[in-house]
Amino acid sequence: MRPPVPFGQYVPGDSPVHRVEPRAKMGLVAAYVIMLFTVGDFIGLIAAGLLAITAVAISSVPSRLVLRGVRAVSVILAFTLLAHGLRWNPATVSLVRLGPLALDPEGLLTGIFFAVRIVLLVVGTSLLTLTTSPVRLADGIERLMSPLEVLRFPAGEVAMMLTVALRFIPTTAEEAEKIVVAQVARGARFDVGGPTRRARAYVPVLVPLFVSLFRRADELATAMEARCYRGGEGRTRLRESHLTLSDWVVMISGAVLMVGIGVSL
Amino acid sequence: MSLTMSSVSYTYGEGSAYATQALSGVDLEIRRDELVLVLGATGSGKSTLLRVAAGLLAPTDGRVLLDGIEVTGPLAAAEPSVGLVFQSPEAQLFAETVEADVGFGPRNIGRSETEASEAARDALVAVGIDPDAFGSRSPFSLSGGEARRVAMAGVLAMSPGYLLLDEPTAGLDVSGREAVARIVGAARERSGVVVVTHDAEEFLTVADRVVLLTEGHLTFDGSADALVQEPARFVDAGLRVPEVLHTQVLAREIGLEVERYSFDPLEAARLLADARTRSQ
Ligand SMILES: Nc1ncnc2c1ncn2[C@@H]1O[C@H](COP(=O)(O)OP(=O)(O)OP(=O)(O)O)[C@@H](O)[C@H]1O
Ligand SMILES: [Mg+2]
Repeated sequence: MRPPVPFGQYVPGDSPVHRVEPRAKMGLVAAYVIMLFTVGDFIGLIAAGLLAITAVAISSVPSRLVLRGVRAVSVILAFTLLAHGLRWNPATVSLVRLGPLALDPEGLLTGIFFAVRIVLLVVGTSLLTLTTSPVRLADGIERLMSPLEVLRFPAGEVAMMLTVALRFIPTTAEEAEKIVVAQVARGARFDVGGPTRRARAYVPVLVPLFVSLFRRADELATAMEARCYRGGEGRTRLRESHLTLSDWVVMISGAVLMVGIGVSL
Repeated sequence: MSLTMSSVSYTYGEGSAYATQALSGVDLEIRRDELVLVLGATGSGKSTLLRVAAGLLAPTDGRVLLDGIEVTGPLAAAEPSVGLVFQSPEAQLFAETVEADVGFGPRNIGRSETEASEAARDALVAVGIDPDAFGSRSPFSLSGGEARRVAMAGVLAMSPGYLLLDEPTAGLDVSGREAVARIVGAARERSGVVVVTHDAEEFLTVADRVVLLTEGHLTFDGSADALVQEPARFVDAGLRVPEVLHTQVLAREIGLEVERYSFDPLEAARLLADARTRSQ
């Protein structure tokens, strides 16, 4: 009845994973992604998987929340498996056949390899958003982009946009839920009919949601202007965050380790 | 014939770190022929109570019964149906025209096209909106008070056997409030009505029964008159004592022997005058 809470929403905490500086964490996630795309066999994937499990365990984020992200890509996973594992009218004889369709064990293994890679990709990246508050994340992105300001790239504005957008995700989810419940109270059904009917059932939710979002965006813009927001220039930060020595050590050693594993396995 | 909650508790986010108990062991019966006023401070669980009563939230404990049958899902299409007008219902308007929006509910519960548009027109008339003048307008072009009434029409059009209203007058001006009071007055002829509010004055005079909700617990269930005799109950529930009543309390404090309290201004004036005569 209610729309799912978006996966990857920040879970406040004080674990070592939470405490790593956002830029360092982004660096580590980037290294992890590189590792995932450079490992060539299952041993590499197992190593990457162990790393992910360790990180989740240390972060003390409930694994249920991490797996929710995986569930969100389950269609992609199923497609990956089927696309690799099934063959249409193969010349060679294979184990299981269903009419012209046949199961190709070798292809299935490839499919599993790609699917596991996607799962780990989702786990790694959602661990970043699960353990970093949106504001700190946007702040980190701004600081990463700040060298581009030389090229007149509006890093401050982009970061403010990101902060505001991220800030509104929970509000929007809440609002969407309220509207869904209100339309259910008027007899709306979201669980009957084929895909077209189901998609159409969301019109009475999306229209008021967008109307209220636009209205709120407008109000927010006016309110920000009234409080003298004039873009990123000359603004100071409420909370300065610095890359400490230990952040550097964690980031560099972690990145070297992961990319090393990726290249060598 | 009644909509009944028996030992109903509701906890948001049960089992998570953010669990909030919004209702605790609530027993409440609403009959088809009465208007029940639910009073409670902000966060006391009023909206939650209505959502549970309408079958939109399943109680974490206890049961909800509609005419003796246990409720297991939304009651919009039940017989009799339970209609819920949400806090700021105008936020849920979506259709291209006012008439289409009001007809959304009836169509959802399987009414034919003609029945639905007839029900929509009747409901618009009932809320004092001219269907010919407003029917083909966009709901987004209405004023706040008009939009509120159109949203209420959207629920009335489903001819609910029980009508639940969540702070129906919040944010309206005097004429808007009066219009809503008239709608509620007309609705009680056909349905059991529950009105939720934290502003007691509005509906105290018309309620058959008043219920006080304090931090998720029912702390009072009785006639408006019985409640008014104990002004401290308002304070305990975190509510403002109605102005008329407050005046009488003060009168008693400065030594007038007020016989009893009344929330009707005229009767209150008479009682004060009597007390004054006696003290002379
Ligand atoms: N979706 C939700 N998730 C978690 N907690 C909630 C949710 N909705 C309400 N609550 C909590 O449940 C309690 C009761 O909320 P409810 O909305 O029923 O109060 P209310 O009496 O209607 O208040 P108001 O007068 O402000 O509308 C509050 O403590 C509130 O914070
Ligand atoms: Mg409420």
